[in-house]
Amino acid sequence: MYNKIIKNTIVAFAAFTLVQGCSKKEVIELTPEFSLDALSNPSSMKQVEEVLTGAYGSLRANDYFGSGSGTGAGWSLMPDIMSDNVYEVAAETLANSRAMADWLYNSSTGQIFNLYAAPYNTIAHANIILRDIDKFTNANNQGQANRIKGQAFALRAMAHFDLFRYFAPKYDRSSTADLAMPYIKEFTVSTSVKPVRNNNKDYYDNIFADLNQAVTLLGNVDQAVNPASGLTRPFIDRNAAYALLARVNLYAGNWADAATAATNALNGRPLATTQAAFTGMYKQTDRGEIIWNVQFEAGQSGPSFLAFFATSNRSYFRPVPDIATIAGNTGLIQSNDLRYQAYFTNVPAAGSNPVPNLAITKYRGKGTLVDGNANFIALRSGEMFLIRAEANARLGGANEVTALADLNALRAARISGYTPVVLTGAALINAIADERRREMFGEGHRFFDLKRTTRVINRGAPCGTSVSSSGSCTLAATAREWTLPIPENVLGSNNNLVQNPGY
Amino acid sequence: MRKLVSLLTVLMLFTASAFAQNKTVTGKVTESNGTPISGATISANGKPVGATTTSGDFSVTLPTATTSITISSLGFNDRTVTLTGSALSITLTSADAGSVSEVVVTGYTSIQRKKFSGAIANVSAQEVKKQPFGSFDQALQGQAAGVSVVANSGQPGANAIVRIRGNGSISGGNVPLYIMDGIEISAADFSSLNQGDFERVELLKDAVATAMYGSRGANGVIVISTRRGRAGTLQLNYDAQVGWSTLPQDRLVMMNSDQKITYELQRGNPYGWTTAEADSLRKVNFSWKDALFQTGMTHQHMISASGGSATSKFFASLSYMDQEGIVKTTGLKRYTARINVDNTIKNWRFGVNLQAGFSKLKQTAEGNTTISSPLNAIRWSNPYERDRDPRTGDFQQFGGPGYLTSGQPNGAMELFLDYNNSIQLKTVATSYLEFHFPFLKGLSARTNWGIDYTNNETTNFNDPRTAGAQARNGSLNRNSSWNFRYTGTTSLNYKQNFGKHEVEGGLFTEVVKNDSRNFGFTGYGFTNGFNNEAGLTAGSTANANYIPAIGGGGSRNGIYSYFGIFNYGYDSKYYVTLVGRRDGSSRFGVNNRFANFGSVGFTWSVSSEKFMENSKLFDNLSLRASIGTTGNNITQAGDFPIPIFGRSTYAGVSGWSPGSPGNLDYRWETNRTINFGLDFSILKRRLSGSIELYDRKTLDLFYALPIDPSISGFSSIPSNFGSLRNRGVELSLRGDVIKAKDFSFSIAANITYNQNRIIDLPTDSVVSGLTILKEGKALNTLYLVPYAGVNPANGNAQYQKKDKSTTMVYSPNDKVYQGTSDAPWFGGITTSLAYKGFDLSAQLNFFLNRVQYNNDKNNVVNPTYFYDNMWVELLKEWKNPGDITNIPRPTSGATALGPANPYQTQTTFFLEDGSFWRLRNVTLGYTVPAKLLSKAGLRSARIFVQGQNWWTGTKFQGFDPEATGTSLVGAQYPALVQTTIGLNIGF
Repeated sequence: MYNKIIKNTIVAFAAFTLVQGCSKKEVIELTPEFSLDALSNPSSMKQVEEVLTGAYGSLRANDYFGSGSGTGAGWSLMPDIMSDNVYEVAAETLANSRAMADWLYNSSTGQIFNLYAAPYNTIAHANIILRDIDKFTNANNQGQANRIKGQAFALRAMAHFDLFRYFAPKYDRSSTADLAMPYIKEFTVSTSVKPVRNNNKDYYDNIFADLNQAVTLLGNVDQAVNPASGLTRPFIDRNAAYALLARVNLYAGNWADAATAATNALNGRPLATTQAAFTGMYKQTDRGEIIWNVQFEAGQSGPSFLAFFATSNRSYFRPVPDIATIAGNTGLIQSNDLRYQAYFTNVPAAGSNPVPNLAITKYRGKGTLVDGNANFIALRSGEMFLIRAEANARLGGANEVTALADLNALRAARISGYTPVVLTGAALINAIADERRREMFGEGHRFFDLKRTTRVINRGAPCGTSVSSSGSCTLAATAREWTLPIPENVLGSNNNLVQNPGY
Repeated sequence: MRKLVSLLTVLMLFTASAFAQNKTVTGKVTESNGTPISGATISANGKPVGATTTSGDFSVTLPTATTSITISSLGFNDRTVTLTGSALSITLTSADAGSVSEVVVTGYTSIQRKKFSGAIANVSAQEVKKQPFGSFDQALQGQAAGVSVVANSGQPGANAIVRIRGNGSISGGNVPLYIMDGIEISAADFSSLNQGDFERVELLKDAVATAMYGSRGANGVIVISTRRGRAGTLQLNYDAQVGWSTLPQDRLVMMNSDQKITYELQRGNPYGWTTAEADSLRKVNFSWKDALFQTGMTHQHMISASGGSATSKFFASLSYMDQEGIVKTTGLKRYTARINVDNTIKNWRFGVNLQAGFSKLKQTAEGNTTISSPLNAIRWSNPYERDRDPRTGDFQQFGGPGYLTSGQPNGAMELFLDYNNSIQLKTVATSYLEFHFPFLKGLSARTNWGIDYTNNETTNFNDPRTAGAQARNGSLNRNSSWNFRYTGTTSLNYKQNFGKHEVEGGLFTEVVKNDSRNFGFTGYGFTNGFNNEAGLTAGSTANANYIPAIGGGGSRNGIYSYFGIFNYGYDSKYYVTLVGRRDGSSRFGVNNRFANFGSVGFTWSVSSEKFMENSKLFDNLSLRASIGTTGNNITQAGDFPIPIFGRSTYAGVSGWSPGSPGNLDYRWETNRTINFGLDFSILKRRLSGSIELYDRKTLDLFYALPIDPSISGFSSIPSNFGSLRNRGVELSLRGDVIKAKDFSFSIAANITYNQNRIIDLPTDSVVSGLTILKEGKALNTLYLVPYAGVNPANGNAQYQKKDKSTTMVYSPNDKVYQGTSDAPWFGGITTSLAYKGFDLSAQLNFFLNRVQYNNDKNNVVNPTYFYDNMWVELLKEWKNPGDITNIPRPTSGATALGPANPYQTQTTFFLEDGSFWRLRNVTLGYTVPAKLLSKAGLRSARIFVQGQNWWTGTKFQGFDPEATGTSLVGAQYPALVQTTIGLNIGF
């Protein structure tokens, strides 16, 4: 009898276990409720478009166009910090980007890794879109598919080009000996896939292929990429794709193509000629001459914090006197220039005896706000004028006339009471380079422009004085630091990558 | 009718036969103060034969040949008494730290220590109770071998970092599992628990000991049993403590006003002081420490009651604690209530434990390098500036609103105008139901269910006047979260003795499910004077600056387990424990959710052997050995192993971004532990102790396998790769040096050596910041360039190259291994002295052979920051060729004398010896004799004075060497130096 009872007990226990067993599913077979399963998604055209939104969002990352306290802003302000445009303010800096500003970086510098990783994150988004979009494309949504795909191609090309600007030793278009970066066209999560660095020629070929696809696709879309009116242009439309094409051609030395693409980019995007329109681009009060801006909504920070901590009015970096001064009558940008007011404001350092001093307040905030929440204008007409001018000047001959016309037109739009000049040859090229330094100040160009032209940095005063905390005032043409090193930890996980010379 | 008669007949026959061979022994068991102990187990010849009644009396029938019995009761030391023939009067003493307690509680069951092969340490609940910490884990420091307890913060209510037998995981969790009354409670979340309710704290260290928690026990288990009711008359207790806490000695000396002005002038007078101004400022010497620190008051009160009958017992308590921090405005207020009830009805046992705690923490930011943290302001604010302008009484803001002249925010404003509060409601409730099957003695079924529910609300307010919050007119962040976990364990158990064979076993199923949610907002626009929701201005397109940020999320995870435990003992000499289990966790890839774990352990009670019977030396000697595996599911990948997209937005539109790469093959991290133990007592039990040798090897380590971010945007994939090992020796000793009638003196000590070594990595020598992961080296090994002083010719800092030559050019390639921040040697020494009613005890803890990077110092040495206050040694910096000093020139550019001299942080200049000795606790108490008490109508009374951290010996330059992590980041909230006066009264 006992045996029977024992049996019954065991059966009862087993039954109870089974009752608990029914809950097994709800205990261990769990799926996330606050995120989207990427095994089975994106599962519709709508979700593909949502990944495109994510791709744009990735541009706001601290190390792309966004910024942290004295850090980040990789392609917005960092190229200015690394150049001769600004100086590090001894009294205010927290020295968080000293390694970048003073070219002290090596392959284990954390910020170098961040600069390597940020564009590839955008590329990963684009590759997911391009992998999946054809699955959901049909005759009825071809226009929508073109619109999404075109932007994805453009973003992929731009992110690769941005990497190239920092990490490629040379910008030569057709070199097969110089190494660019790995051009990634497929999203893969794997420990065994270890891409190699493409040579410059292949890399450029890929960038141009993607941009040309973007131009084609964005020419045949279901609806305008950006709204017809508004204060911003947050998405890459056909003009923006052309603008990217112009920029890449300029670096590649394809002067004629650069000029043509710039002209196409400027179609319907005239220069801003009033202070309100020009300043309004940065303050989101006017669309001005924006071709494409990276949008930062309320609470999403902005590009300013590497140089100017807007919420505390603290300037880690300030413009050098060569650029502008508080008096406004010396330097490249003077008070009769629209850019003076748009870019700078007198914001003295905190202290008992405030000394008037210019701060980089371009990205101080929208409207009258001072919270550092501002958009980054990634592409605008001024740059297109300068690309076309430089391309034509370098083509020389009859094209110099066109180049001069563009230069004078741009200056006339910026400087009140401007008298057109007549220049040719090297003087013209130098004048365009100077104008480029003025126009693109604080927009992520100076270091790259020097890298592709003179390859020398000579920081004048106050570098070397107690006002500036910088210990490095010159960068020679032969210095390895013109090219960022491939990060040590990336080399560790991908032994197919070749380190840049000198590191 | 007939049936009844026949049954009675049988019973009478049985009784009669029993009388024929046996004798009856009677007696009474009491505590030292005379309180009867009910439910104490009476054993003879290694078998339980009876228990005491509510009045402490017992009467047991024993074989005539029996000469002694052993009395055991939870919370008391076992006592063996020789039978005298007359009624016995037996007094039990409370189990205390260091003694080898005879019974261990492993969570589901309790088992006699000598039968148990696992490595376990007991911590006396008395020791934990008496120390007035807001988080009880801090009181575990130095109490048990193999358990490293380091407080990272002196902030009231802050938890300690507890590691049992070292760090076993690189990317996963290293936190032990906490079990209270059989259910899992959230680790490091104890500010709402009252340690006064604890009866026992057990630390389970090896695979056999933690086998019951195999799925989560890899990092060791801390088992807390709360106080149970005792049958007998109602007992009321009142415990109170009142005291104060102060700031420890600061070993990082900053400049005073005179020195700072001198230094500024030396550096070129950046503020342009005139001679008159400079002379005037030299005399200010304002103490930022005095302005922001205080002597904090602590008081706590607890009332508890215990009582019941043999079949129904209860324990109940109420407590209140109010602890002020040593930083002004900070502190903890805690209210707890508990009721535990246990019932026995026929074959049923049923009980409920219910605790609710509410705590309110007022905090300040710590462990950061933010200039607005008041704790950084203490170091960085110039001593010639003040918190308040003496002329106006308002905050001094000479550098513009919110700022001091230097551009450093006025820390007093952040401290006094802002607030940083968190409130917590925590409920832990468990209940059990046990049925003893009547038809088979020893067979029982039990189910135990419990919940741990925590609701947190954190609030952060930044006043619109403070430096960082002016742009948006202040900000208020309020975040609410809850976590709910239920644990259910159901088992079928059998326990029986057959002659010399003791058999015990159980089959279990267990389910643990955790759910959490949170949401919060940050609002702006505090213009109307209110600093709560009434003050916020909702943003719109008209005032986009005030658009609030909102967010929320949640997650869940679960564990499902089946397991069996089997114990077998033979002849009270040989014991074997076998555990086999299968665990599933939601955190792993579909195919790897379930894994098997198991362990086996042996115990040999050597002293019970015939050949040891005549041993004069050993009163007890036993050897233990165990081997087994346990799992860790605290992954670095979070709750879901699948690839996922996370929410993102752009230009006002919602989208998706790759959130986690996932790994469908993700599996359990496994610990394999081998343990050898030896327990002994000699010299008539005057000296007793344990030695443990262990080898804990972690396999399939959770490891974020680095990948080239180019292919996916991810820089690593959660993986299982590599192994590491913790090997060590633990020694616990307790000696009763003097044991006289009125005087006793004892010493207890424990010391641990833990050697942590990485065995295998996917990629060797991974440098990350200050540390390196290197095969053959310990985790958290610092990796820095040796600093080689200053070149007298040009003032440049010099570094030692790999080939030992000196260079002025810093290169990360010259980094060398520098030791680890996890002390391999640690322990505690406790001495106790008792004379009549007086007792005096002292506990000295130590952590040796550790190094730590002093980032707090880095921030006051970096010459860029000379606008703020600096380390006093900087006055000695190099000025002229020929100067012999250790502080380089402050300038970085190349000079005519030498090359560039950029300031470098990753050097041994900032590496310091983090070893320390600490007088953790000193207690002087007086127990009022029972004679005096009875007149006053009291059952017991004791008063005591105790101190925490009165003395610390270290070379580390900071407030407090007690800190974990490779780097002391900054804004340290040092451990409190506390003194309290306490009172315990029993009615």
